[in-house]
Amino acid sequence: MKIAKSIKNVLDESDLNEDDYRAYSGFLQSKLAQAGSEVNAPWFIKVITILGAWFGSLLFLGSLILAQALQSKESMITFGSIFILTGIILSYTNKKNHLLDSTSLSFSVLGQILLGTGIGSKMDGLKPVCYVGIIVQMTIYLLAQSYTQKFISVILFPACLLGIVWNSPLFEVTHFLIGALSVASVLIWTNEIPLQIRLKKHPYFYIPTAYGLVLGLLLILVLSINNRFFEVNISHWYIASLISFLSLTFLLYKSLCQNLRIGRHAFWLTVGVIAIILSPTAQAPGIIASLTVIVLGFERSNRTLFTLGILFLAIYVISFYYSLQQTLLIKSIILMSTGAMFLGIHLALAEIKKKWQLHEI
Amino acid sequence: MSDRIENEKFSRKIIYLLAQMETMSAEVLSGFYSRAGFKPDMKSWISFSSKFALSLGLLFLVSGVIFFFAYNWRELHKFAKLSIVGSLILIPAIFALLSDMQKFHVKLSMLAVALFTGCLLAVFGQIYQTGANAYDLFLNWAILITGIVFVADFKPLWFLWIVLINISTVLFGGQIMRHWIDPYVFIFLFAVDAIALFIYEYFGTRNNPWFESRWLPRILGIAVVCSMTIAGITGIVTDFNDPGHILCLMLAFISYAGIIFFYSRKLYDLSSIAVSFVCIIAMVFTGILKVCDFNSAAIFFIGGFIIVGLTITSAVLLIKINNAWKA
Repeated sequence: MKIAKSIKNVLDESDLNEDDYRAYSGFLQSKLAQAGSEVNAPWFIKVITILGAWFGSLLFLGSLILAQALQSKESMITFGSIFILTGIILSYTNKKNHLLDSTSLSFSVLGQILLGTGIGSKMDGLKPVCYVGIIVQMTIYLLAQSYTQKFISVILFPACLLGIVWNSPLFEVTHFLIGALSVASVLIWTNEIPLQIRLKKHPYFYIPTAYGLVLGLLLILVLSINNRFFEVNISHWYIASLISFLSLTFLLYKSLCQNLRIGRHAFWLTVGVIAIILSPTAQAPGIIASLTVIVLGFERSNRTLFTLGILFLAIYVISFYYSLQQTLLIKSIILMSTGAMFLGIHLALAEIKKKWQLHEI
Repeated sequence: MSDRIENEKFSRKIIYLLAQMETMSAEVLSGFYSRAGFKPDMKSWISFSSKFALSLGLLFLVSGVIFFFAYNWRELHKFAKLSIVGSLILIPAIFALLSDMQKFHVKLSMLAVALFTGCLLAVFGQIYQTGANAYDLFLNWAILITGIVFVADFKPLWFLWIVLINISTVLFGGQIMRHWIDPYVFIFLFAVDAIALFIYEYFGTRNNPWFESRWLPRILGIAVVCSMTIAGITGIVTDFNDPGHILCLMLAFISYAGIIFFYSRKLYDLSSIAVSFVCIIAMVFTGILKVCDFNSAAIFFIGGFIIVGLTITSAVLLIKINNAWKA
C-alpha cells in the first residue's frame, strides 16, 4: 500500500513524448509551488480546524445566550441563517489560503446549531428541523468553497434523512439509506479517476464527498450496535447487511475480474467463502460495511480508508460479541472457533501464494 | 527538473492535481495511477488476504482464550486451567523457535506468546487469589515479556510492552499512592515515553529501515505531550498545590518546543506538531479561564475568539512548515 515512486519515476516510466512530459511536470511544479493550497494540506490540519471551529462556535453561542441576544425563537432563526450565509461567503475568501477557513467553519457550525434550535423550539418537533437541515446541507454542499464545510454537510445530510425516517412509521427505510450510502461509497471510489476528470472545474467536490460518504456510512451504522444502547425499533438489519454485501461483491468483481482478470469460478468461490464467513453476522451490518471499507482502502491503496475500516471493524466486532446472548464460555468457544477458521484460511492462502509464485517462475 | 518533481512521492494528491489539467484524460490519468503502484496486483491481494486472515485468526483466538478464563469454569481443575494456558504459550514459542524469526507469522506467534503470558498471570491470580494489586499483574507481565520483545523485534510487541509499563505506572499511582493524577507518576510516564521516542527517532534519522514506519513514534509523541498537558492543566486548575505540577508545566512546554523543533527541522512529521499545537491551545485556554476565575461572562466571547485565533495560527504555521519542508 506504500507508494514509493517519485513523480519523476512515474513520468519517466510513462513513455511520454517530450511535449507531454514537459506539460505534466510544468503543471505539477506550478501547482505544488502554490503555498497554502488546500490540496497540499495534510488531513489533520483540517481536523484541527474542525475542532477549533466547533469549540469556538460553542463559546460564541454561550456569549450570545449570556448577552440575551437569543431570547426569542425568531432571533435564533435569524442569527442562524445569517451565520450560515456568512460562513458560505467567507469560504470564497479563503480559496488561496487557510486564514479564514476556521472562521467560516465556526460561523457555519454556530449558524446550524442556532437555526436547528430555533426551528425545533418554534415548530415543536424534530421533523421540521430535519427538513430544514436537508435544505441547509444541500445549500452548503453546493455553494461553500471549503472542503471541511462540504465534508460535514455530506455527513449531516444522511443524518437529517434518518431523522425524518425515525419520525415516520417507516423505520425499515433506514436499511435502504444505509444501503444507498454503502453503494455510493463503493461507486464513488471505484470511479475515482473518471469522476476526478469530470469534476476538474470543481475540485472542491470529490474529496469531501468521497470521504464524507464513507465516514457517514460507518457512523450511521453505530445505530445497529446494541439495542440496549439505542432504543431502535428496527429489527431486520440483514437488509442493510445484504445491500452492503452486494456492494462488496461489486467491488471485488471490479478489482478481481475486471482489473486482474481472474476466472469466474475463482471469483464466485471467493464471494461464496466470504458470504459463509459473514453469514452469522447478518444482524450486524457494521461488520460487513467495515470490511467493505477495508477492501476499498486496500484496492485504492488509500491508508486513510484502510485505517478507518480497521477501527470500525474492531468496534463492530467487539459490540457484536458483547451483545451475543450467550455465556462467556459459549462466547469463548465461538471466538476460538472463528480464530481457528481464520488461521485455516491463512494456511490455505499461504498455499495459494506458494503455487502462484511457482506459476510466475 | 525541479527537486520537487524528483523528490516528491507520487501520492493521491498528485493524481488529484493532474486531474485538474485542461488536457488530461481518464486514460492517461489511469495510466499514471497504475504506474505509481496504486493498483495492487494478484500477489499483493493474496498476501494482503493471508496476513489479514492471520491477524484476525490470532486476535480471535487470544480473545477466545481470555473469555474462556474469564468465565472461570468451576468444573475445570486448576491444573487443567494452568496447563491450557501453559500449552498455549509453548505451542507458538516452539513454532517460533523452529522457524525463521524474520517472517511475519513467526512474529505474530511471538505476539501470541506475549499475550498468553498475561493470560497465565491472570489465571494464576484467579486460582490462588494472591491479593496482588492490578499494577503487579501488568508490571510482572511487562517484565516477563521483555526478552520476547527484544528477540522478536516486532513493533506491535514493543507497543504492547510500552503500554504495559504505562498502565503499571498509572495503576501504581492510583492503587499504591492513592492519587490518580499524581505529577510524579505523570513525569515517570513522560520519561518512559520520551526515552522510547528518542531512541526510535535517533535510529530513524540514521536511515535504519526498521525505524521507517511512523505509527509507533506518532503514538509515543502523542503520549509524551498529552501526559504533560494533562498534568500541567491539573496544576493550573489546582493552583499548583503540588510543586510537581510546576515541573510538569515546564516539561510540557519543553516537550512542545522539542517536538515542534525536531519534526519541523530534522525529520518531517506534521502529526506530532499538530498534536502539540492542540495541547498548547488547551493549556492557554485553561490559563485564561483560570485568570478569569472561571466565572466571567465575557470568557465565552473572548474564549471563542482565542480558540478560533489559535486554531487559525496553528493551521497557518502547520501549512508553512509543510510548504517549507516540501520546497
